[in-house]
Amino acid sequence: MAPRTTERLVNLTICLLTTRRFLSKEEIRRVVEGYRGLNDSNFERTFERDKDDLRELGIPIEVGNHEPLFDDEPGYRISRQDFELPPIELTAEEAAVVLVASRAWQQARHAESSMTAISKLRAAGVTADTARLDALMPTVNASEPAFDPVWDAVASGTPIRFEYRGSEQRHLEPWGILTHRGKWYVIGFDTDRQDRRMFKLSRISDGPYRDGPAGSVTIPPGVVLRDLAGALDPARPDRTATLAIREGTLAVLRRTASPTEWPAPLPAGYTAHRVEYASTSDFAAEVVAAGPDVLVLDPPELQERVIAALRDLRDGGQR
Amino acid sequence: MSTSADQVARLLALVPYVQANPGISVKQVAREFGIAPRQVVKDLQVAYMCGRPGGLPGDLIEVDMEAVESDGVIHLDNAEELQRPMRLRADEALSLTLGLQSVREVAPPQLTGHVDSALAKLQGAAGAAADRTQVRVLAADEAVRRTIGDAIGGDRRLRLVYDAPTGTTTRTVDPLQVSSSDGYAYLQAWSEVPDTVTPAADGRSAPGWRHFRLDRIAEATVLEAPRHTHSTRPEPLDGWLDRVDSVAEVTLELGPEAAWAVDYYPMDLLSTGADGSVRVRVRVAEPLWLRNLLLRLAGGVRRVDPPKAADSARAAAAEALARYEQLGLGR
Repeated sequence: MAPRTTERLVNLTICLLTTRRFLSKEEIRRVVEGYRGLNDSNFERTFERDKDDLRELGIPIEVGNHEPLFDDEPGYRISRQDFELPPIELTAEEAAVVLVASRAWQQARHAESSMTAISKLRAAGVTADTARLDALMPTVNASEPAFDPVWDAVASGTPIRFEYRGSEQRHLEPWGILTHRGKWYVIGFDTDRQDRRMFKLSRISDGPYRDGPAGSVTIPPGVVLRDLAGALDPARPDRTATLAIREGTLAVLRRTASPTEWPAPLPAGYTAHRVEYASTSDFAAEVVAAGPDVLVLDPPELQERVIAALRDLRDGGQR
Repeated sequence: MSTSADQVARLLALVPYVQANPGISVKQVAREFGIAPRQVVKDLQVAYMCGRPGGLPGDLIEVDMEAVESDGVIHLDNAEELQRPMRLRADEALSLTLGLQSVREVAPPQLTGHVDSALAKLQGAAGAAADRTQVRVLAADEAVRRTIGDAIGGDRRLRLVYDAPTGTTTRTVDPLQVSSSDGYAYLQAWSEVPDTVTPAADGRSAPGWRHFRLDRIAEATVLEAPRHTHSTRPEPLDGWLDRVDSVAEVTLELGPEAAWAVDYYPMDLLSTGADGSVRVRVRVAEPLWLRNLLLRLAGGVRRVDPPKAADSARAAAAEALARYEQLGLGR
């Protein structure tokens, strides 16, 4: 029966697009092929389900009344302006990057959304050829269980609640979803803390669940996601360390370092460098990870931390 | 969503599309919509039964089914109501925006302007929902991305100075593709043997396809020599660990202060302790990687199994401490 259902849904869409005034349920039943043979209760049920199906597809069915004096019976119509994709013209280069973008998703569900978006753009006259951009293949991946519900909440503007780090209950009006170096975050207004907050999706231990009506989240004017995401960038370095780096190693570190003098003798094969850093604990871990290839000469608090960690490892091992 | 709903969504894009492209082939429509040609014909058979209320012949969408079935070309008429596609749904706009932002992160700077203007136009057509995502990938600086773009566009070989974890190498490569995966950008290229081979990199010095992390490319220079073509294709980046022959499995117990590592490194969580400690399984393809990880986590690692797996990290710590003693410290 699937083709019959499709026919009825398309006919209903065309019917509601054709009319300027609101059509009553009875009028719709009379004119739309597929409703005529149904008895009263079957018609009611089918019509309700059809409306839901079309709305889920994003078709804006308006409810109203053309006779304000007799407001007992609602009518329906689709405003062409709300239904149709506004004009969009892309240059060949823009169309090509959009097509590359549509192939980035690794999750079937989002790959499909991108694909339908592309077919709509094609139907609007956008032609795309990616032959020249074959050398570009970004991929987007999301494995966190909370990803899909958070994504839906962001897309539909729905408040959510969830358990964070296994204990805290949080309530959030989600403004946006972002990925930074492969990890996903949701950012929004935390209604418990009455402030904007960012949460890592991998730490959401239960949920999220719907916590309010769709469309009820409004992003305050002036909030730009890109600026809020800046909090994830490494802090600006405000401290300087002097390190002894073994020749021929740690080129990555050396690229940001500048050679310097050290008044005392260094072990053979090491030269002194100055490096800027932001967080003592993070930078200490970085230095320890390099093992004997890098030694801290200054400042003392960094040096003490590194030596303590090295001792832990050498002596601890199996505690 | 039901299959009918999917078909409705497709028809509402397909009907305007074939009207905008009279005489287009069934095959091409199938390719562009990512469905089987047989499904295109089925869809058209349904469209043929749809139309304006009334259901009289003049009200229905006209499809030349004979041309579809015998010549494989589509002529569709009398569907004025469906000349424009539907608006993008919020999730469609969001998916595409995030895809574009991912392109922007890896694209050569020559393309950034096009990505930005496409994003702006998409937001204009889709509204606010498109503005709710953000992507950051660790890539190379603009100069390196530009050089790679020039080499691929001009079909030239590239000279790379690459900071591998095992040491810096200089080599000639044939660049193929720039991709991104899990937050890092990579250059896929055929690599000749590096100029100098460090002992640690010894096993991997044969020519072949490599994935170079963009943020580790220190310098890139376009060469005069034209890019060579190769008969093989590189293996995909994802799942490379599954293809490495010598993968060792190591189990770690991490104290609560080191449990953050589960989020950052490829490890499988086995169990969580009451005190916030975790037991994880790590698959190790590169012993040096494990050594560096254990050093980084240091005292946060409570137990390593097999214990031998920690030997090189412990030796490295002992060697580093010996150097500090040489400096008169850490005794």
